[in-house]
Amino acid sequence: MARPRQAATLGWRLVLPLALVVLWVGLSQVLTSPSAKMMLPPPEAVGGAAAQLALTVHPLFGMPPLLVHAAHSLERLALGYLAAIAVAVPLGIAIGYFRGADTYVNFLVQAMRPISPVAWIPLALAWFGVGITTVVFIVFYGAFFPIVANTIAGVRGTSRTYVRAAVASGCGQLRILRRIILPAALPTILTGMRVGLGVGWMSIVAAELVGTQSGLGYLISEARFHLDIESVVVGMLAIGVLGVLSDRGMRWLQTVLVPWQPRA
Amino acid sequence: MAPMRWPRRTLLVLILLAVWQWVVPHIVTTGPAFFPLPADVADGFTSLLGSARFWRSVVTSVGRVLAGFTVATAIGVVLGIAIGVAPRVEAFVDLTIEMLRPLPAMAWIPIAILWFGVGDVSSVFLVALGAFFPIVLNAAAGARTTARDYGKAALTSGAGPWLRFRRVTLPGALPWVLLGCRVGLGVGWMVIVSAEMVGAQSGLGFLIMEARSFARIDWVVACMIVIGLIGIGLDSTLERVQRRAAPWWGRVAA
Repeated sequence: MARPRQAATLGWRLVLPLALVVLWVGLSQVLTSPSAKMMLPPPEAVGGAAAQLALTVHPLFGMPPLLVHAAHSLERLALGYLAAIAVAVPLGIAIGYFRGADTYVNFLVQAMRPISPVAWIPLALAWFGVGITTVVFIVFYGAFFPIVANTIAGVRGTSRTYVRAAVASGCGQLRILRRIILPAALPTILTGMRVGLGVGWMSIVAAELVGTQSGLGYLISEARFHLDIESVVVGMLAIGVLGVLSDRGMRWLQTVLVPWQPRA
Repeated sequence: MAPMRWPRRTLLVLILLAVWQWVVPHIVTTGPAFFPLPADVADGFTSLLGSARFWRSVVTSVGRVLAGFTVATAIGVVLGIAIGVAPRVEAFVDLTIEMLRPLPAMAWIPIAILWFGVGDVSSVFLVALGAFFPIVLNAAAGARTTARDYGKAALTSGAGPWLRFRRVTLPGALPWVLLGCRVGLGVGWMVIVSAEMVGAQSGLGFLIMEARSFARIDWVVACMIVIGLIGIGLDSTLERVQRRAAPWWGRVAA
């Protein structure tokens, strides 16, 4: 959210997070029955699970399990996300630029859009089975729509004046596309890519809960079956941290590629 | 030009369906169990619409979404507007919100099941969680922007703090609030389907997973279409509310 204003000292901002931590520690000291521990694991138990998952080498993988699961999730995210960019950006440019594509392709894209990525999970499972392809497909589908929508908007939002000026100075179609429309649409496309990455994260967790035997989503789902709430919490933390890092990465990409653009 | 669009589009869809029905089976030979043909889906659709269980699932899922959405709206709007007008409130909660927000609601599914068991409570909790962040952030942005842009004008015309809040900040924030609600409801609908796939014995998400385990791909596709249609229905309802309540806004943001 927005930056703190004058009234807000750092101390005041830390009150609630610290209070929540104190509450957690306090409750876990008071509620020591096994059933309560299952609902609210004490901090040291979560720390223990984190150490176990992140530091102990798994006999099967030869690596700490948390790293293996995180690596699998990231690999699937990267594949699905890059595929989404590779398809959505050219398609969005075509729809935004050519009337024919707008008339005959755009409405099909818009018709698919309301079917959320998670609703595709059962069909993807039937098509691709339990495994990486299912997850990659769901990520692809989830990331696709924000990117295509923003690409269309970006291309359409390109100032007519620039395009006319380019036409008047004898620019060909392809050159206009590359030198005028793409740079003008790039900030909007990047915003769509950032939103798409967020949806991709949501989708990958949902897909891994049911559609794989590895990955962070699988980790928390499996830990839940074993009533191992400590590992669930560790997995959630890993998902949150990687989500923040990937969003930061996109923000960095925005500052590099479109430094002139103000950002939220 | 324009009147020719929809006949041609319809023709295109018919051609695609025909190719799917009569050409694809000759190329993909794994059988209709994997690539349900349009005719199969149509059959699946009719049998689905005739089953009481399907309608119960629809009612269950929509009920859960509306319940979770109501909770998220009630908390999100009040908190968001407080954040927008009071810097101290903002400073008090912003770190906590920023820490919780990056975690997608789906990642809460396992822990919600451990906490609340399989069923309504965890579903409503998850929907509320997913819908809460778009609502609170938009409400805060709306209240903040309005208070900044129009607050001083109201102040110079002699309006007291309560009048400013009620007649300037609240109506000014309304379009933002409604926008946040629309986004939140969309997220909530996505979350409920996902939550029911893993953590429920009822609802559309459960039904679609069950259809899949019975290898009824035609039902799976029919359920997907229904999920999409309900999503459209929920969104267009809120869009109508938005047009009614804030008719001046629609032309600015899509």
